[in-house]
Amino acid sequence: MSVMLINLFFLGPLAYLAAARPSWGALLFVLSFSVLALVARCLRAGEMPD
Amino acid sequence: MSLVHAGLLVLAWLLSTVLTYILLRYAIRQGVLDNPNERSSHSVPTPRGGGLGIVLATLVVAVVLHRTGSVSTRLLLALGGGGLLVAATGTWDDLRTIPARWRFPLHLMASAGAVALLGGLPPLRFGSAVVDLGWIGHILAVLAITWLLNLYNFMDGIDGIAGGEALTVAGIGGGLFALAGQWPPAILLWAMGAAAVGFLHWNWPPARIFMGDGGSGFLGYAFGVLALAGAREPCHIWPLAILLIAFVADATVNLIRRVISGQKWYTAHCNHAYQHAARRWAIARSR
Repeated sequence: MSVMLINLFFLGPLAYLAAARPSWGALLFVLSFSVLALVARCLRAGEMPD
Repeated sequence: MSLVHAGLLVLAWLLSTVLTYILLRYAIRQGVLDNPNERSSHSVPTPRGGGLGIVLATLVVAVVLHRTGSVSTRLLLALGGGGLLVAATGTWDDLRTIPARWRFPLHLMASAGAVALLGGLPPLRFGSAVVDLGWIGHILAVLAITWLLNLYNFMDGIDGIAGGEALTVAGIGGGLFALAGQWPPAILLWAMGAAAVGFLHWNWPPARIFMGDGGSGFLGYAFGVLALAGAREPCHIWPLAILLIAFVADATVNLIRRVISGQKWYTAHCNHAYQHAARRWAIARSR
């Protein structure tokens, strides 16, 4: 399942970084939200490669 | 983590596996089926409501942890009281569709109760600044938990996605809480993850049973409550919030897009990014 892979290999490390560096938490939240919102937009528009 | 905690995780997994099977048999006997329509990602009538196995398994572990003194009464009431209200509302909606004007106030009530029991939204860290949002923060926390439980329900549209999200978010989130020494939310998260494994045994594609609104609403609500419970230090709300972004980003962007384009944002649709991806994958596989 792609959502599990995203959590394991992208959001998991970012969450670990946010826990280790508390002052980066909000920034990492905005960054990860932006990246996944962009991916969602591309998927909806059918622009992702097969 | 003690041997008792490890045993409780095994108990959550076993309970969820067995309860989901019992719910599967019950749903078939009683005709509680999700019939496919033009928005569906499935093609055969499939039993629903299996997520109640996760709800019951998680709450049994929470009660045992409370009895051993590991979980406070306030956290048990927030998770159990509000969680049961959310799960009951969702199950009621699964059996007999109830209008949003009834569902929404019940969701708000559960979220507000949890925020009040857990002492509201703690100060948040933004860079080097620690900001206490006060009453605005408490209201934002209520709205965030309400949105989280609803979006989790919206995102439960293909086999294994909600269970897979629960397993990975709970597993990693529990690990991060444990590293920070916050054992009560850590063990509860791991119990939810173990229960999700039991449910996924029956929900992995091709699913033999769906989660239903009761289970998906409970999972979103529980993640919100446990993020709040673990956020007593300014740093600890962000890690779990980041872990939930895959669901939050898709559902939130979709909601904003529908509101801006003047569509009825509260009606069911199949326009989430994951649904587009699933359709493309199905087409590619059939070639």
